[in-house]
Amino acid sequence: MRLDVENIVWGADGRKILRGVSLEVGSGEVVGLIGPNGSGKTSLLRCVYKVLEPQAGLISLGEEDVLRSSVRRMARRTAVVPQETPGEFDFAVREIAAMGRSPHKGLFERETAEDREIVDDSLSRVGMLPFAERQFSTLSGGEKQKVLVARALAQKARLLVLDEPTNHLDVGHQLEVLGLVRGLGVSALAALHDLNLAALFCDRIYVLSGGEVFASGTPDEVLRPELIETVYGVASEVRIHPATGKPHVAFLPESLRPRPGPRPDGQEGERGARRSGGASP
Amino acid sequence: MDETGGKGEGGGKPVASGFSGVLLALLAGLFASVTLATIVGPVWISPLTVWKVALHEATGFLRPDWSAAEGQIVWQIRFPRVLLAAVVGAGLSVVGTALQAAVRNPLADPFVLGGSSGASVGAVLVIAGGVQFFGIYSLSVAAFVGASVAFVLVLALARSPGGHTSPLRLILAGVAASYALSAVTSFLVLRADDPEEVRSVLFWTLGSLGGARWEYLTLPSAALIGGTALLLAQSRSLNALLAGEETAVTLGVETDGFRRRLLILCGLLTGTMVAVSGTIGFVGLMVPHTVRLVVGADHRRVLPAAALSGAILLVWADVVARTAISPEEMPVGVVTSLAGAPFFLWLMRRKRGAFGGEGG
Amino acid sequence: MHKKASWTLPMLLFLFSLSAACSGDGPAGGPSGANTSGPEEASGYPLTITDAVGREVTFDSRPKRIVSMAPSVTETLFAVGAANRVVGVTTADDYPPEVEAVERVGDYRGPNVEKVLSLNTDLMILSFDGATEGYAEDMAEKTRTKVVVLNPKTVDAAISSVGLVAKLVGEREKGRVVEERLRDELGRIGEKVAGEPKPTVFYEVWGDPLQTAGPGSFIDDAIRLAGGTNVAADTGDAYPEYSKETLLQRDPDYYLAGRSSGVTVEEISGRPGYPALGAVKDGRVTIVNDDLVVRPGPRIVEGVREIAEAIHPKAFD
Repeated sequence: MRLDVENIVWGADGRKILRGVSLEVGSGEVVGLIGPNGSGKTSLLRCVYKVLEPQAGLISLGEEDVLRSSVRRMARRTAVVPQETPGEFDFAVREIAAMGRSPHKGLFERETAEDREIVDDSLSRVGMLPFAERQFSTLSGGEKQKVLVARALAQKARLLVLDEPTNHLDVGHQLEVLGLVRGLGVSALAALHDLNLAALFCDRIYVLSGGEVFASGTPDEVLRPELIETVYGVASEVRIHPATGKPHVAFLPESLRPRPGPRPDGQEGERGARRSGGASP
Repeated sequence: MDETGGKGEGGGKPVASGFSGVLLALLAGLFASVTLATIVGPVWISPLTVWKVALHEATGFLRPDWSAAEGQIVWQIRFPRVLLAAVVGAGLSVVGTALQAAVRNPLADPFVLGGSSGASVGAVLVIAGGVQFFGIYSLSVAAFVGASVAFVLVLALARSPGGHTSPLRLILAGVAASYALSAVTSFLVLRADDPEEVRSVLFWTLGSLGGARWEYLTLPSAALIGGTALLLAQSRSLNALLAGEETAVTLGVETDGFRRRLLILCGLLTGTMVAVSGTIGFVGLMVPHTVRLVVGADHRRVLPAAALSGAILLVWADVVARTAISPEEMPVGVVTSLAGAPFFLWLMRRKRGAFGGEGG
Repeated sequence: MHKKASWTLPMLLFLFSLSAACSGDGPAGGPSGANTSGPEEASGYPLTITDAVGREVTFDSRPKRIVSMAPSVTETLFAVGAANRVVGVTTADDYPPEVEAVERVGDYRGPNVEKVLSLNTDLMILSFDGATEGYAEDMAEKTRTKVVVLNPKTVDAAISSVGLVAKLVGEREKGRVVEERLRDELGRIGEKVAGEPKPTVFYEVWGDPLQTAGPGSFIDDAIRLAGGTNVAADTGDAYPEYSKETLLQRDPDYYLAGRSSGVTVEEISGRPGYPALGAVKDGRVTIVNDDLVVRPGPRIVEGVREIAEAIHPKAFD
């Protein structure tokens, strides 16, 4: 389902966090949202899933006006994999996943066989069915994240919103979780920290900076050293990786940057060397 | 990985079939507790007589072959008292369960939002201040009004200018109001001319079911049944709320409104229970946790299990309260805390995975 | 729970001290808990007394500005003609009516030191359970006043302490008259009830939760002197919470309730289970003036008489 975000403005305590952000996620498209800390990624996602109420702008999902719809109605269309995880109170894995069914259930409605099937199916798609009776708190970070994805799946939503879904995960789980999302075939909007992961898994990328969209496009259009330098203040080198066919970003920290003198491998003259020369310890 | 999944006791059992077993066991336990509790008391009356009296009073059968005092003790003192203990125990546990979800804090209990200190102010006004508006019901009415006023106050104070009511604000407002109201209580107690009044206030604040009458059962029972049904209907939303603030929104719960309705319901229930029993501590805090350790956190299971467990706990606590130092009585709140806390700590140590012991 | 603890703890401590003081025997002998010794001159001074906590206090002359820290002491001072020398009393004082005009300097927990100092007093009489030897010494030093502690535990001791207070303030003769009158009256009550069977009596201090008066309370002693048997005599505390079941089982002949809790005979009779009580069925529920029986002052015998009249109506026709 298609998501349209137009000119969203949101701020708190007199500070503007989002200054007119527009973006779109096409049907079945996986869109990445990147940008430095404080650029407004999480706030934008929160506006989309109705935790925050924008002061101006329009969000529509398909034909539906997100901002005017009830929380419950939207929960049937949008599923979220949030950063927060259940806290002091411990649920079993199956119970967490089954929560995904709640927006579809009336007050006194019982869980049906179909619900249970959906939950089991969701868990098995993320490979967590064998853990269904385990307590959530006993899982590793990657397993937890997969369970939250399963909950989102059980919600049977048309749009999946993910806020840093790969935080705290080892590389194997990072790839697994994002691969899962990619393979679902639903529209997805994901805030990501890791530019290379964004390049690998997103159809298109939006770059947020200072509460505005700084750039957007396919990964190879967006992920350019100039942009990374401007937005993140970091020198880098980007190449299309021969194995993946996707852009790959290598960051060049001050300490590893080539000195101005002659270098045997002849990397001099590349972009990364432009601002080098800082005294390394 | 799969072997660890089968390590057993820590986590996995709460499956639907296991739960009906638990529920059945609790129901049987409650029935047995009420039956036994009515034949135990500071005055020995044979179980046969107890049940003959009950049958006679309930149906009119049997010709009394027991003394008038025995009849009165069984039917006017013990039965209402045991049943009231069950109702109040269930009520406090259900409210505790719901409030722990509402403010997403494991330390929440029915009195976290100022209910006990508000009720205490009302009670002290009656006991030491001589305020008497409703005859014999003055104390109950004052306690209910006190609890409700405190509650409304906390709800109003906790609202941010934007109209949001966050759990943390609620707890802080509750704590602040509790301190303020406790200060009022202390002041009123210190102003009391008579040490006997001070003692009465103390007895009241430690909780007692000694004032039980049949009339006291109607309203709390209705509140308990209605309240529990409403909460059960909302158990999916309660689960979502317990899982997280944003999570709840993304699962379709309109958190602000839901929480406010939840709190008002809890406030009314708490006020009703406090009005007939004083402030009985511990039950509403620990029963929900204990139950969660056994049946998991899903409210469709926790709510009925907590209600039944709380009822059983308070029935037995009250048996101890009225027999341990007979013919004197102990405040039942002292019993619940003295007996319940060690049990709970034992349970917590046994289930090492719970409460973040092996989390992450 | 933690919210409540902030004020229940101090209160518990207070109650502990109360029960501890009730059960402990005063170090000094004698029925009043205090002895006097001194030259038997006309003036009576200098006068040395040993008070209820074993302190020796010497007076060189008649005290002129007196602080009374208990209603019973105040009533005694008024009864022996020292009213015009009483400059400070407690908030609980309400008898005789003239006491309304006297300055309040504290409550049953103790005096306010600054107020006492401002009154330039020369005698303070304490009569409450928290008044230990250390407390009295401390208070004497702070207020620069002679402090005497009384702590009568029985009706008899209360009568003796009337005489002692009178002697302290130089009204020995009046004190002797009052004391004699009280003992005569008590003797007359005793004679009247002597031949009667001893009915069982339950005394209600508070209705919900039900509280009674056990051993160590004046009420318990007063019931005995009035020719009755306290059904709560086997409790371990002066003012315990009491089991309704046990009450119904023991079925006392008479049911007395203190006036200050505000109960009525109708309310008591209507309580669950109470219709089975003989006292309720036969109209033997009486509301008594509890000020008379809880204050160890000159009216204590009136309290005994009130109880005796309630439980031996024929003897007092």
